Amino acid sequence: MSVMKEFTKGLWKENPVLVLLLGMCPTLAVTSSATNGLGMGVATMCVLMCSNIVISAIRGIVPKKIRIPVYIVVIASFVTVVDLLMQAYAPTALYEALGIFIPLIVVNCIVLGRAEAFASKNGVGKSILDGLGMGLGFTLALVALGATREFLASGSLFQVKMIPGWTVDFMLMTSAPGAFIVLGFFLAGMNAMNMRKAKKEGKSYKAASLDCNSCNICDMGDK
Amino acid sequence: MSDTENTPTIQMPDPAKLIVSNSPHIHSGQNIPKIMFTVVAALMPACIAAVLFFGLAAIEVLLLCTVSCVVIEEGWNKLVKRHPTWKDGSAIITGILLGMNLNAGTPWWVCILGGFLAIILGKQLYGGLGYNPFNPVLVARVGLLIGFPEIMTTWDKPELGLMKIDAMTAATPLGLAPGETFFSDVLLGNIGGCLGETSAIALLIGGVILLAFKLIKWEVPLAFLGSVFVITGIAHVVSPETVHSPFIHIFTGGLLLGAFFMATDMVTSPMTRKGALIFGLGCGVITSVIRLWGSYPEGVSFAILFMNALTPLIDRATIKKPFGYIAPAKGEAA
Amino acid sequence: MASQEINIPKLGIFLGALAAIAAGLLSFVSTSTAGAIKLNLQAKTNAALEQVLPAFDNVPGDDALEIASAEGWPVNFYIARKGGEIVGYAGEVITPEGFNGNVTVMAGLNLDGSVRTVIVTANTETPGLGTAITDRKVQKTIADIIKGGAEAIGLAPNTYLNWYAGKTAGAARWPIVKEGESINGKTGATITSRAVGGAVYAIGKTAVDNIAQLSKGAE
Repeated sequence: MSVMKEFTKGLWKENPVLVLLLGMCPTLAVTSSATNGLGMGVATMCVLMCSNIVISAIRGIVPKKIRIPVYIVVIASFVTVVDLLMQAYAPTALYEALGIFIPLIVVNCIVLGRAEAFASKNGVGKSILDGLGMGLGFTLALVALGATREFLASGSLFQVKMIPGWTVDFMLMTSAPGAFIVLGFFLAGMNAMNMRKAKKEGKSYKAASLDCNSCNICDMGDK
Repeated sequence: MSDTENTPTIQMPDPAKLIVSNSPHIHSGQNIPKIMFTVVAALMPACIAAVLFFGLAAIEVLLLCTVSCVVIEEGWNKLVKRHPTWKDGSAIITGILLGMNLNAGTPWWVCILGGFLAIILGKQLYGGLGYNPFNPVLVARVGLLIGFPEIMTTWDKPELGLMKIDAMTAATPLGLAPGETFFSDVLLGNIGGCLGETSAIALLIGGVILLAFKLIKWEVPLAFLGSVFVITGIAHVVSPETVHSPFIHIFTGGLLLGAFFMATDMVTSPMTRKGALIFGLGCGVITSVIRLWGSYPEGVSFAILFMNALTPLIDRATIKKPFGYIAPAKGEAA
Repeated sequence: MASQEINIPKLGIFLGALAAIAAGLLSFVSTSTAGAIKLNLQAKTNAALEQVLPAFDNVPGDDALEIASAEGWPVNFYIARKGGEIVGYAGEVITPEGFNGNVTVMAGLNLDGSVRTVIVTANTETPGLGTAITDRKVQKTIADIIKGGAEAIGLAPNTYLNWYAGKTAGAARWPIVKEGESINGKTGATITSRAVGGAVYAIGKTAVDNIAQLSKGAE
């Protein structure tokens, strides 16, 4: 894989939210507005990049037996750092909205997933690109979801009313069911697009199945 | 043609088209349009009561919902290149029931959005009639209730016989303190609420029609209404000043409409009699819990949707064993 | 792995060292952000107080006293001063009468104990119904952005909460008015309306009854 591919795979082909379906908890919970999606995405991206760098750098000296606890310590430290920094310097409203979900980045599968599947096997440079691409893909997906939900709910984007006459909010979209509905349509659209592309190229398209063979998080998938 | 005529081959059924399903397998002579139009007839008394109490606005809402449901269904059929299905009447029933779940003052765009939620989100995305796990009408109602809580809980005040256009607003009896509601009003329909919730008598007539034509299982409404009666009855005895009497609970809100017309939906309720009892009981318990302690005054729609989700499990648990069936001993593979 | 043996002391030392490094990093970040976080929290309380009080230059959070209302609810009073002179009070009370439980109401009071401004600082009411009573929400439109400016809008209006401005608590709670030009209640959110009205009354009544104590300040 070329260097550029390490970066771009997270944006579309292996998008963590829309293809790998990782990190559903923050995806569904905080995307009630575009701003929240952006805040969560950027916070996760910071943690992902930092943890990828450190884990890639120490991959030679970490005993294999305790690699998971080591990853957890590294990730948890960076999450706490991001949490404290946001508490201190991010706008109060954003921090309150993201609330408990910031500490929960620790258990976001994407971070641990990339640590185990990529950073622990590749060099620092590649791991930075991987973290950046995956983080950016996560952020883009969250912003897209948040923006769609916010727009369908109140006709506004980033808290700015785009359609002046829209006075009654459609609150279904900002509540939890709206998250599932919009994500469902996003996944369907993604599959439809890939299907069309495969048809054009004369290939058959099979939607990614959620089994061990099509997942590369742990070692089982490689075999 | 000529090829196959000369070389006789045994036509094997396409395994992909073979459907293995639970009973019933025996055809009762009923078909979808016939069933659907009997249901429409059963809905008529409640519709007429709604028009009597709420006037032209009620007709407007009912018509708008029905037309938008049918149009959206046909639009979707065009889009995905399926045959038109409006003649089977299911979209019409969805539309009427949706209208009965709204109040007379509902804005037109809410009716149309409701039609979209019911037909597309509630039914067609799952593959159309028969494949939907949830009752489409309730999907729409709950979607609108969460989406526009203010519009969906502002009720018009009923005035018998007046074909009025402008309306006063009134609280639904469940939102009032106990003692502010009178039983005779509740029974006749002189209360605020959705179009289909007003007249208990009209709904009971409709329910009897459905039961007489054996279109619904009596177990569902019985278990549903019975469990609500018992639970709210106990709560009323324990704390009469905060909880309505069980009679008020039975005859107000969407309970009768839900118990007879929506919990009994063939597609989304269990097939076995035992299953129907469990289903109705579950609906009743959840409804009572939401009414007594929940953050919404009414819980019928949430209860039925929740039990819809459990229907496949209930079916699996209560399926009849074949005659002579011996349960495998423990440890053996089933 | 070359050997299958598990060298527990070595693994323990490795993890311990890593944890120590992590702890060092965290303690460094924690100490360097502590100041900013404290300021943020203070700013949050102050932001709420600034909404209900006239301009002040003390820290009302440090100039507070608690008086129980007739219902037995503890009302927290904050005293706002400018140049040492008292310019107003703010009372905060938690009422359990909300539709979904507790509603925290803060009311700014004039020197005579009459209500100045009411805000709801915390609630769990039904979105769209109860929150119509409690929320003051500013909505910027695309037109505002294009025109530019329009930044400091201040306190967003809320018909129901504005009703209480200028009222002085009397012998009984205020009635809930749902129709007419000035209303403090809303069909479909009667219980929330009552809860907020009751909380404002508790603050106002306690202030009127204890105005002598309040005017002496917390000291």
